[in-house]
Amino acid sequence: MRELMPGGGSHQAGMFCSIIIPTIGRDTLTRAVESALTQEFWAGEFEVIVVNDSGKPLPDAQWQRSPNVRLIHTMRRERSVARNAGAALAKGKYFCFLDDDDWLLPGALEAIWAVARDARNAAWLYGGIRIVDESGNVLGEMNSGLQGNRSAQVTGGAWVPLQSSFILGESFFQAGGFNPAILVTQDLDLCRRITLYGELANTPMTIACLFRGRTWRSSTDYRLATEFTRWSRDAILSQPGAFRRLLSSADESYWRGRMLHLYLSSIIYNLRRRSLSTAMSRSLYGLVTLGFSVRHLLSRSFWQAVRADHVPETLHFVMQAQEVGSVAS
Amino acid sequence: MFCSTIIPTVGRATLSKAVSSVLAQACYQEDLEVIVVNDSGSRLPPSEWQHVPKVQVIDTYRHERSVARNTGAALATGRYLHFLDDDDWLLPDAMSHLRRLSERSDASWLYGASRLVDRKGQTLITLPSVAEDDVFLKSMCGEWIPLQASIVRADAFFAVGGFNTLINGPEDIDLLRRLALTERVARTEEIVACISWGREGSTTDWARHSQQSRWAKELILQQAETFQRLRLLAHGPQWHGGLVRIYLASAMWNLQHKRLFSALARAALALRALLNAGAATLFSREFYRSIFATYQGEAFLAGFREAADGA
Repeated sequence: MRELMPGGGSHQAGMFCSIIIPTIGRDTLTRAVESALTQEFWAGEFEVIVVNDSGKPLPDAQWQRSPNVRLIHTMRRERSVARNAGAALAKGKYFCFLDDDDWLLPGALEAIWAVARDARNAAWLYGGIRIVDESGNVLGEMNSGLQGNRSAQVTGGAWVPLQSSFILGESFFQAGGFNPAILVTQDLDLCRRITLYGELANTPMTIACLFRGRTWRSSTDYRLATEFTRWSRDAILSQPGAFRRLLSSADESYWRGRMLHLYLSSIIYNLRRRSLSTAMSRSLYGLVTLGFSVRHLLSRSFWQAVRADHVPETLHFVMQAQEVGSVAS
Repeated sequence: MFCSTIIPTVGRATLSKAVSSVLAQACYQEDLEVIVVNDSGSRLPPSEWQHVPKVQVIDTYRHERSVARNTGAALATGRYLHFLDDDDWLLPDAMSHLRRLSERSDASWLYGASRLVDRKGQTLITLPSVAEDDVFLKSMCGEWIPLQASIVRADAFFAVGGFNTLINGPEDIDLLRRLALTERVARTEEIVACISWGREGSTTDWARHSQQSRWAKELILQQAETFQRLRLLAHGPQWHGGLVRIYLASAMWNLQHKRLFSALARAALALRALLNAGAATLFSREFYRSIFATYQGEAFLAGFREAADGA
């Protein structure tokens, strides 16, 4: 017997989720699609939408004949446009955006379904991520385990991997989807915008693999990341209600310090752009943050967070920890 | 492929007329395609045009116009994108005129004149295509260039991120403003499209319209280069006044929304626009009229004048 859908069945044919895979035609695509199609999941339906953004036809593959897969073509418009297009066609209640060189682990859907059942109102469900190289060696594993309103953490630098996330479709569209004008770290930008109003829910299980080997090639220009991150964080601070939301999520000294860091770096960012009025407004909020943080002022982690960038819980950190570990052994 | 026409639909019966008007274009048939984005949430009734190979139908699930249009655009293969609504239609020579224009100009937004028709198909007025050199300033003042009578270069469309999906109603003029901020536009005087006029059967949420319009404008005024660009386009008392009005209105809005610093910044720019206008302008009645009176669309004024002359 089929169980009821989490959160009621208002969605198209009650489909639980859509797994959207934009591709630039890499060989690893089949692994990504198969990892979704071979999920053992009986609680609801799911579909796979492959968005071929390579501008060329894809080589023939078995999965293209699966009734659960839809293949659409975009014309080399980059991944945000491809992902947004896939999302607009999706029937699922939740969306999972997988890249064509990543894959889901067995049991991922079951685990996420259980999270969705327990946290009906959460906008962003996610599990742990495993980082793997070409020979299948595990380079690292990470799960920041954030739950509920964690806006300051997400905006302040904690990494919630898109590949191991299932986003409530409704929240995705309310946030306006991926911003195609952001060429790098658009996944982090989306997470910041969605968690500004929505809640996170987490499963401790590791549910997806991210491929980062020596042969790993990306279509991303990571040199632009810093500038886009500044822009994206500044846009978050401009949103109505951002201050209250950040404040209520930054309950520890460290995150309160991160919050102050966000306002301080936004002042510099706006001064550089000669946006004096915004810089003044940020200064005011920075002062108010300081005022609300009196009991944290003697804490070392507060000042540490104000001074330096957030390093733990980032992909870079996970991989570097592994390198140090392998040298030591 | 020259142009892809994208028609989002809520399943109105007029859809067939819209699609057929593209399929009936007099020239360049092999260089056109139609993408119908069915956002109605239910199946479209079967029609002849659904069997035409160059027509593609895709289904989105009631995500509103901007999402539907962006999705159609993502699937399009044309160099230019044309966004038609399901109750409007093209005139038979539209694509020929626009194509000729595209051969003369590399502007990212090409547009022609249009005809407003009532629900019975009777012409109400003709909207001429407004002069192209200061479209950004005019559009910030409130001028409207119908999307139905325009084609947009695909690369420029994606460079600005397509339609803002958080805006529903004024998303067309918002796209024009964001493009015209940095890109050039070009026009033909030929009439290219017929647009159904009237709120009856419209999917636009008019209550939210003005509020969203204001907010969309604010996002543009926040950009650092906007003032400089507007200032260079302001010639003559009317447009100097228009510029002052833009920033005064924004200062008021920011004040109402308790954004004190932004309000001050806008007020300072309004003052700068005022000083910038020059001493002679300050004695012109037209200058003050355009500060204090609502902007009258240039195209609409010309259209009504012509209709009155005709009668």
